[in-house]
Amino acid sequence: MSDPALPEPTTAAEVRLYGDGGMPWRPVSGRLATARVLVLLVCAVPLVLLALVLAVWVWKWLWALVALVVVAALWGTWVVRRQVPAITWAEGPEELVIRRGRIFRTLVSVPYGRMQFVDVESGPLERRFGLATVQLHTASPESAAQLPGLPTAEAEALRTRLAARGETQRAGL
Amino acid sequence: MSGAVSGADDDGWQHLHPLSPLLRGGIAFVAVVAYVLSQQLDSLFGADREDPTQGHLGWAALAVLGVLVAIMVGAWFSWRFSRYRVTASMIELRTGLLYRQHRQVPFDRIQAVDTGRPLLARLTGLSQVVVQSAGGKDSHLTLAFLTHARAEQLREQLMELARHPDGAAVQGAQASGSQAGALQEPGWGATGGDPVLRVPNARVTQSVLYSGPGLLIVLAIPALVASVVLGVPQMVAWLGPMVLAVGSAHLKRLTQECNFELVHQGDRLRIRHGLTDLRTTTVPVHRIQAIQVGQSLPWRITGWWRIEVNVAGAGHGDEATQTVLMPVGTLEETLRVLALVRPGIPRAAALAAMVGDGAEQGFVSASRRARVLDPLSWRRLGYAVLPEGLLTRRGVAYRAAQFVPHARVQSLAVRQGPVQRSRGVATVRLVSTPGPVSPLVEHLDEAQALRLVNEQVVRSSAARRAG
Repeated sequence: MSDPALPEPTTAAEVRLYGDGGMPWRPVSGRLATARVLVLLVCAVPLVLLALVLAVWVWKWLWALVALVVVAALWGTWVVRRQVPAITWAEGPEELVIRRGRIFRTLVSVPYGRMQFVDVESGPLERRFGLATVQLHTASPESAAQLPGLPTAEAEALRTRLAARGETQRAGL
Repeated sequence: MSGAVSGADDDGWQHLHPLSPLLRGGIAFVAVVAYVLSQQLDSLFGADREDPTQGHLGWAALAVLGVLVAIMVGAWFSWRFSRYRVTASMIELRTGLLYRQHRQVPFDRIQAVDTGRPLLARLTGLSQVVVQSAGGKDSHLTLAFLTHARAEQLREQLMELARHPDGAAVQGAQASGSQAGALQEPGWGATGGDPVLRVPNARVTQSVLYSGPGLLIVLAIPALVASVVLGVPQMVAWLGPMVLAVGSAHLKRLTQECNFELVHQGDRLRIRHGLTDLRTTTVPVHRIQAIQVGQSLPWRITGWWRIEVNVAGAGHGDEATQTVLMPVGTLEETLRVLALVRPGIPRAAALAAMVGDGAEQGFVSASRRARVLDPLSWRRLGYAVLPEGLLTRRGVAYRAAQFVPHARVQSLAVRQGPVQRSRGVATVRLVSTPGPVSPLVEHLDEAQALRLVNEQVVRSSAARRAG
């Protein structure tokens, strides 16, 4: 059904939702999971302590609250531990592809020629872990894809590569 | 080029119309003058001899005069320091005495050029020109106000200068112009072009009524009257605000879509619409990023369709930009407009996308396994690859067909939720620039969805290089 005048797609490697399909998929740093769990704990621990104090001194039924918060924190940790390895990215011949999520699986493919600019951001916590987030901007805010948890050097290198490819492949709107 | 225009200085800078500042401050100014005059007339000639100025009429008159002079001086300065010029590569506008602003829009950044005539300007024979650039609403350049003739001339001039260097797109659009030439009527429109579509106001009115909220209002008004007559205040409290809110939105749509005309001029489309605020927009055909043809359930009875487009540079809710290409039209009119907009949609494929289902005309349908997810319209879900772009199709109650030229795809996204995963299907989104159209193909077979993504990346990049 595709027009004969157009070149037939000749990708030996193909993008897939799961598995590699010949693409050079790369995971993000495992330290991202540690950083996210840390954020979770920073929120959860004071809450547990508060509930604990109240349970001991005020009302014994608040032990249920303690248990609830602990279970929620453990569940959150498990989710983060599963989510972070699910983020993978690959540089194709024409596009950067980012996959994420296990239950709600998404795959975003941004052509190099469509990238208007690329940001590298790093918050205080990310900086402590030596991580950075690469943010891609196209003409549509809808396709502003971000790739968190890259080691800073890798993020800078990726930005440089993307900028170079964007320069050679950029097209007008 | 602008040196030929009288009133330009050596560098080509020109002033706006002298009445501009007064019109921009328009209604407030008129209101102040009217208020002051009525007060004074009352006290001078009215039966009521009580003088509000308590004998200091002379001082009061002097104060009013002072305010008026101040306004006039301010207006004069505003006029004196607002200048624009058209150079070889861009249009520039300088404004402000204290806070100077110098705005430039290079011709290759012009997305569309509008002329607008708000009511007050219309009475004085003036128009404003809005040059839309790719940076969104804040980057638009507004020349308010010029005379009608000058505004139209400037719009034509800018559109000519903003002409895309891409000759292929221009020629393609011109070639299809000949078929619309059959519709040409003598003496229609001052600036030429082939009239494609003129929507009767009666039909626009009906189209607004034949919508869910429109019908609701029609039903609500007798209820409202009855509740007033029978004295049920709760009913009024409930219905009143609702009718007002929905009604005003629809009334606005009605006033915007009245007097709708679409004219094809070579490589661009000229749209004229509006009841009180008469607007003319010119959109270059190659600036259109995506098209959607839609039909709601009530419209199916009358066989009407609506065409909306994404134009680069326009954001959501950006009212300055025209995104409606046809507010309401018959099937034939729809196909006529589609033929102009993208010469790449064959009639049969367009029809299949609008009313068809299944695998006709090269359509790849959603998986049979998607029946659970979308029992009503799964047969309609699908896409077709055309030489110039991708055509998508969906909806039974609200039928929609979308077209994205291959070269205009911004990025691609695949999404699969837990239920979709259990059925082995996924949704593909073709991300376009912001606007009313967001093309997507729902519930494709997972392998088919990924095949679409893999192939579309190659097609899009090939088309971008060719364009």
